[in-house]
Amino acid sequence: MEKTTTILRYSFNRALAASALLLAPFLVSAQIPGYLGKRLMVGYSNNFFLSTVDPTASSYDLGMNTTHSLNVEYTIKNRTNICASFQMFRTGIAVNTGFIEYRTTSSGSTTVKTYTYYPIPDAPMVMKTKCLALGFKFFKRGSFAPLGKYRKLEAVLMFSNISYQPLTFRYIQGNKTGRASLGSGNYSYKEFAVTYTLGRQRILFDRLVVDYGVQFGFMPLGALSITDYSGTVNITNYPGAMESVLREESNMRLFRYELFNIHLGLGFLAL
Amino acid sequence: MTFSFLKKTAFFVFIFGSVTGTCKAQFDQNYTPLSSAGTLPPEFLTTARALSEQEIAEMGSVKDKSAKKQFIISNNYFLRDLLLSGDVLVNDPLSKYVNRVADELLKGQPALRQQLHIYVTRSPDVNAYAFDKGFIFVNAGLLAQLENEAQLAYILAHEITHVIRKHSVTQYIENIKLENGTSNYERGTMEERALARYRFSKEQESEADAEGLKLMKQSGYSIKAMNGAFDVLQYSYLPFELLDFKKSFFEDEYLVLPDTLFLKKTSEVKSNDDYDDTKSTHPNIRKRRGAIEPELKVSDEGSRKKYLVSESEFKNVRETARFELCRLYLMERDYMNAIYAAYILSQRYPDNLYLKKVISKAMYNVLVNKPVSNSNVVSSGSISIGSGNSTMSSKQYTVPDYTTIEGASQRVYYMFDGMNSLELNTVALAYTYKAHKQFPADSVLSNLTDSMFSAMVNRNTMFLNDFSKSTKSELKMKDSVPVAESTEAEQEESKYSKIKKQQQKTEIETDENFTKYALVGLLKDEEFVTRFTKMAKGLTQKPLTDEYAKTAKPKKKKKKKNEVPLLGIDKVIFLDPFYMKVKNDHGTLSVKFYDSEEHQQVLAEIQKKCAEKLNLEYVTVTTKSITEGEISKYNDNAVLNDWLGERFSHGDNNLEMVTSSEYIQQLIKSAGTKYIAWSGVYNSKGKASRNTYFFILLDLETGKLVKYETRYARGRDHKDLITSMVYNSLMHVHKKPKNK
Repeated sequence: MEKTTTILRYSFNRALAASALLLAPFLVSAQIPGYLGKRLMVGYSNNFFLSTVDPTASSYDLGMNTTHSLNVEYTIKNRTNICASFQMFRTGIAVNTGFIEYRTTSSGSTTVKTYTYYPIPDAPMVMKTKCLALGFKFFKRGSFAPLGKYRKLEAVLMFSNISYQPLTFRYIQGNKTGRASLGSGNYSYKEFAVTYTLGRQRILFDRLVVDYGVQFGFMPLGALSITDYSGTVNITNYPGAMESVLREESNMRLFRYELFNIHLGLGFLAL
Repeated sequence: MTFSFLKKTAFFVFIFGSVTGTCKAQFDQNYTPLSSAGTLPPEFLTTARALSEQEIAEMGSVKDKSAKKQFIISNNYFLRDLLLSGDVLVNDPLSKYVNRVADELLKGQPALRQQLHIYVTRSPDVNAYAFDKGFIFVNAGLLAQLENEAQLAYILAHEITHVIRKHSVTQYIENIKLENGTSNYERGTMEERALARYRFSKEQESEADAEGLKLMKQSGYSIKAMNGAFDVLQYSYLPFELLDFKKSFFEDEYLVLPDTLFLKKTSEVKSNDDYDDTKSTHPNIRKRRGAIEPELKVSDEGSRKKYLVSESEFKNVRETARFELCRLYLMERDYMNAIYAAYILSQRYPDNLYLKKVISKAMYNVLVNKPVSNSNVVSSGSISIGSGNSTMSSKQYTVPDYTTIEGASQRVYYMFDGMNSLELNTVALAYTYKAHKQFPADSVLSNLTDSMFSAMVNRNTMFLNDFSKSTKSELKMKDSVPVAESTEAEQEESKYSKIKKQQQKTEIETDENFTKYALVGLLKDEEFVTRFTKMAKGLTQKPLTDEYAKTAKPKKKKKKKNEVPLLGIDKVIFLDPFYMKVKNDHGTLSVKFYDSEEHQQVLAEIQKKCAEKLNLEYVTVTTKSITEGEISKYNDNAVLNDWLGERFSHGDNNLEMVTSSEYIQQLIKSAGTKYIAWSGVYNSKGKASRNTYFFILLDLETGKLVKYETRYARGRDHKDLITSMVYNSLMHVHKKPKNK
C-alpha cells in the first residue's frame, strides 16, 4: 500500500514537471527573442560549498560538498525563464546523539543501554538526496533572457536517503560495552524547500551558456519541526526517535549545503 | 596683325560671353545638388587607428609626448568621422576650384602645397577650418558670401598658417596645462584659466592673420581685397545678398496679400566690429582689420589681381554654393533663410525648378507646424508607440522672432509669422500649384500640391465651396443687381437669406479675408478642382461639430497590451552603426577612440548576423571599408546622412516633410527597400559600466518614424549583451503580426 502511494506520488510529481514544461511553449508570446531565436537551454551545473564542520560523504575531514544538477530552461517572456532541474547531492552525516534504551527485565529491574554510532572504519553516515526543482528565473531589466543578472525562485522537492551500518552501534550498559544493531540501516524521507538564487549568465560563441551565482533556501516544513536532540534520546518510549534524529541531522545538512551554495554551470542553447 | 587682334578680341568676347552665358544657362532651368566624383583619395580609406599609430610611430621622442599622442588619436578619429560623413565633397567643381586657388597661392612652395588636402564641406556656416595634419575645409556657406577670389585666397592663407604652426596641437597641450595648473601662460582660478584659453586662441588667430598676409604677399593676389574678407566675416550672419523682399512674389491677380502681413520698414544692419571679444576664440573684427591695415596701406598692388584662376569660375562657384545653400538651409530647418535665399536667386532665375521646390517645401514645413485654431484637425501621421519603444522628443518649428533679424530678410520672417494656418496654406497651395503647372512632369511638386490640398481639407477643414469662385468686384456686382431691380422679390426674401447676404457683404468688405478670393483664378483650372475634390472625398474622419461632440460618448480607453508592434518588414538598409566607449573618471569623460572604432565594426557584424538568423534581407550603406573606386557608395552614404540628419531634427514630428527625400529615390529603388535602420551603443565606464542602446527605423519615403527603441543596461558591453538587444530589435522589424 505504502509502495503504491509512493509510486503515485512520484508519478504525480513527474507529471507536474512534464506538464509545466509542455505548457511553457503555449505561454510564450511571439515577442520573445530568446538569444538569436533560441529559447531552450540544457545545461549542467555544480553547486558546491566548503564542508568545514560537517563531514563529507567519505570522511570527517575538510572537504567540498557538491550537488550535480541537470538543468532545462525555457524562455517564456523577455526576461523570464521557466526552469526545471534534477539534482543529486551526496554527503556524510556525523550523528553524535546517544540513544538510550530502557529495558525492564522479568525480575523487575531496569537496564539502561546507551547506543552511539561507532562504525569501523570510522566513517560518517551517507546521505543521498535527489531533488526535483521547478521555478522561474527573472532577469534584470535591460537584458534579455537567458542573458545577464537574474534572480531565481524555485520550489524543490527533495528525496533523501540516509544509509548507515546498523551493526556498528556501540552500547554502554553499566560498565559493559559492546556492539549492537540499531535500526534498519536505511532511512528515506521527503522534504520540500524553496530556494532563491542570485546569479548571472553569459553566452559565449552564441551557443554556450555560462552560469554562476549564489543560492539561498529554506525548508518551511523542516523549520516547523525542529527539535533539540542534543545529548541523548530515549528510544524506548519513542520508537521513531532515531529516524527523527537522522531526519533532523539530514535536514541540517540539506540546509547548510544543498540550499546554501555557490554554483557554476555550463549549458548550451538547444532550440 | 590687325586681323589677328580682332580675331583674338572676338575670341575672348565669345569665350567670356559663353562662360557667363553658360553660368546663367546652367541655373536657368534647374540645379542638381553637389555630389562627389572620381576616385576617393587615400586619406578616406585608412582607419583612424592606423593613421594614429603611424603618426605616433613617426613622432619619436618629443616634449609632451603623452598629450600629443592623445591629441593625435582624438584628432584622427574626428577627422575620419568628418571625411566619411558625406559632408566633404570630393572632386566636385567647388573643391577643384578652391584647390586651384590654393595652387596659385602656394605657387612658390610646392612642398607645402603637397602636404595640404583642401575640401569643400556642405555646411551653411560661414566658416573654414584646418586640421594640423594638413586638412583644410571650406564651408559652402563661406563660398556663397565671398566677393572675389582674393578673399578666398586670404582665408586659405590664414588656415594654412594654422597648419604650418600646428596651432591645434599647441592649443590642446596648453589647455591641458591650464587644466593641470602647469601652464606658463597663466595660473589662476577657473575663470582666469578660461579667459587665458581664449587669449591663447586669439593670439593664434592673430598670428594666422599676420602669417596669412605674408603668404598673400608672396602670391600674385590683391592685398587690398583682403579687407573685404573681414567684411564677409563681420556680416556673415546676414544672407549672401540684401535684396528687398516684395510680397508681389507670391501674389497674382486674385491672390492679394494684405498690407498687414508686410513689414513697412525693416531694421537696419547694426553689426559692430568692435564687440567684446574677451570670451571669444577670435579677436574682434576691428582688431583683426587694424592689425593688417598698415600693411594694406604700404602694399604695392602693382600687378596684383583679385582673380588669378578665373573670375567667371569664381562667380560660377559662388552661385553654385548659393544654390546649394538653399538646400542646406532646408535641411537645417532654417526655412526663412531658405525662402529668402531662393527668393534672391529667383530674381535672376525666375524659371528655375529647384528654387520653386525649395520655396514650396519650406512653406509646407512651416505650414504643418502652424497651430490650427479650429478643433477639426485630423492628426494624421502620428506614430503609435507601444511599450518597449521609446519616444523621440517632439520638435515643433516656430518662425524665429522677426525683431531679432536685421536687414531685408526681416520681412520674410514677419510675413510667415503673421500668417495663420489657412492663410499660409492658401499662399503655399497657390504658389506650388502654379509651379506644378509650369513643371507638370516633376513629381515632387505634384506630390507637394496634393499635400497642400490635404492640409487644406484635413488641417484647415476648408473645402471647395469655402472659396469664392468670383472676385470681390463680381460679387459686389451680383449683390447690387437684385436689390436695385426687384423690390418685390426682396419683400418675399426670407430672414435667413437676408442674414446670409449681409454676411457676404461683410466678408467682401473685409480686407484681411484674402484667402476666400485667393483661388479664384485656380478654381477655373479643371485639374485644380478635380484634385481638390478628390482630396475632400478622401477625408475619412468626420469633422467634429458641436452637436456631434455633445452626443458622442467618451470612449473608454482600452488597456494597451505590453507588446511592441511586429512590423513584418522583409528588407532594410543598414547604415554604419554608432558606437562610443567613454571612460568616466569621476565625472571627467574621455572617449576611448580605438575601442570605439573597433566596436563600431563589431556592432555592424552583429547586425548582419542577427539579420541573417532572422532571414531579414539587408543592404549595407557603409563607408568604413570603402575602396577608392566606390564613389557612388560614398555619395549614397552622404545622401542618407543628409536625410537622417534632417529627419532627426524633426524629432517625432512626423508631419514635417524631409526635404531631401527626393534625392534618395534612386537609392530606395536600387536598395529595393524604403526602410533604413540605424543603431548604436553608448558605453560609459566609471565605477560601473553602463550601456545605452538605441535602434531607429525610418521610412525613407514618408519620413515616418516606424520604430524607435532605447535600452539601458548595466554591466560590460559584452558581445552577447549587444547581440541580444540587436536581435530583439530586428525580430520586431521582421516578424509579421499574427492578425495580418
